[in-house]
Amino acid sequence: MKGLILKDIMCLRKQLTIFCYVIIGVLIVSVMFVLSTRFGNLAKNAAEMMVENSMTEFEINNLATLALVLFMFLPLAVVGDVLNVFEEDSKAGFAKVGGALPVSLPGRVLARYFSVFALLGIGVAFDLLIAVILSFLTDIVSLPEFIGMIVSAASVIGIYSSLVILYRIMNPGAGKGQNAQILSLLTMAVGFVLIRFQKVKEIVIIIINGQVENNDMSAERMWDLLTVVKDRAWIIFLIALAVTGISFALSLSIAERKRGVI
Amino acid sequence: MENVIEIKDVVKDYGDFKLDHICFTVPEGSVCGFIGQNGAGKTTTIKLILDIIKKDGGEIKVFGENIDVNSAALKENIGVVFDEMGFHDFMTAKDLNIMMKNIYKNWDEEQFFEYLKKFSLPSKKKCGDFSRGMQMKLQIAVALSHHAKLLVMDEPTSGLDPIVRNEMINIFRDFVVEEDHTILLSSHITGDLEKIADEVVFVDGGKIVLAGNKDEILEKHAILKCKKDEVALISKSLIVGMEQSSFGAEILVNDRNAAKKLYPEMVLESAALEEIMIYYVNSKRGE
Repeated sequence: MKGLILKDIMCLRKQLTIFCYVIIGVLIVSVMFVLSTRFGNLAKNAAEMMVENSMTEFEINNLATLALVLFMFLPLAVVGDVLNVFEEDSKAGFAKVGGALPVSLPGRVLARYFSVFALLGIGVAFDLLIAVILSFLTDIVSLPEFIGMIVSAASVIGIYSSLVILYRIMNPGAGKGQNAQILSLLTMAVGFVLIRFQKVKEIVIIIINGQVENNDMSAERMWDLLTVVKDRAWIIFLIALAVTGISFALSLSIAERKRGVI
Repeated sequence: MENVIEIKDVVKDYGDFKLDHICFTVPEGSVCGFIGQNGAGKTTTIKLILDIIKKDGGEIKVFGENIDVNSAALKENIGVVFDEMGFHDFMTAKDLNIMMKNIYKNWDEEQFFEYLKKFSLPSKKKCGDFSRGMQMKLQIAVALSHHAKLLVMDEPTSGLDPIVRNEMINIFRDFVVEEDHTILLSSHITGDLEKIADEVVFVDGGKIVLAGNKDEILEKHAILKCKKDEVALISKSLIVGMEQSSFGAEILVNDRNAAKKLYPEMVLESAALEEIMIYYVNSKRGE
């Protein structure tokens, strides 16, 4: 199984190079961003907006947090995209070779999940490093909140990757990767709406009625998700664990039926 | 002699193609040629033997054990060569070594690099840049570097020039020098199998048409040449297939000695495996 994981990582070599560039880029841009929110133009603009009363301090902090969430999310999104492994395997016709290797079918399915989550782990480690550096430079987000953001981002990427693996095993073959991606994103969107149905409904109503700018309550509802991302990451983490477990069980049973196509 | 592969009543139904209750065995220490035209069911049978696809019925034993029960452990002793390389184009032989030593318990790194040297394969070049011959040799190097006792090969020589094919046959010969080493070699290039095979299994349309010792098959079959009006005199039980032309008829008979006794005045010539295959296929098609 270890050999298959190494093979998958070799397939993602290109992505690892991109990952290195992204990490360096994110580190530079995020440091510049937090310094600017503290001493530079962003701090000046924020002060002006508060004087003009167009935005509250709470909203400005949330906007800055949102930007930082994005910075934490980017490196994980790069390493978490598992699709390349499937594409490379399909191009090479690896299914036959893989099937002839002395690795059990559960081992082969598990290897795929391990590869993805091992890379995600590397992404999380580098993200944590960036978070520690940023937490020394800004008061907008504390280190525990940064950790929450990273866990949330890793969980979201984990859910996405698990779904992509499942859909690709369901529908193998070269060039079918996009279908798996679209289906995974759709599943996540539907899942999100179902879990947060009440909140989503309220936000939709507010947007339809055009009350966003004037209503403090509506703004709070809008920022509610950010609180979950920062402070209640364990919820998203538990969902990710459940989705990964279900995805693995389904992938295994499909692979058992199909054989040799993973 | 024990059988390394035993296939009993195996069925695989794809709807448009069916492997229909096939049975054959491969004795230990032998080279078994698996012959058949394209689409006859050779690759499907090999995939079933390797447990890559699921059978619909029957029993497949490798080294005396059911392949679907203990597949992963049994595959430790099987080296596999497919008609297409199957390794990623960007991988080098060095990468393959890293991958395989973490897969096969008995992976012999030293032996692998020795084979690379022997086959003149560069270890740092991407295998996507290899010629077809080099790609097949790389597969063979991988298949032989984990001390496999059974080599299963699906059309390893197809698309290769005669010199590389000959080189590969010599590699297979070296492999079977060891008494407990066995080869199952599928091919539609019967000339290669004639050189190396001890046993022959001939599959057509998903059914086993002929199976047995190659020399016995070649000894038993013969081509009987006669005039057109003499065809009616030939016993139908002897005839496998027939080709008629304006000069006369050529009949493949399944019992050379009986034919010699019954028709001493007619010409009997030895039949090559390729001819035997063609006559069997044509007779099945009713030509």
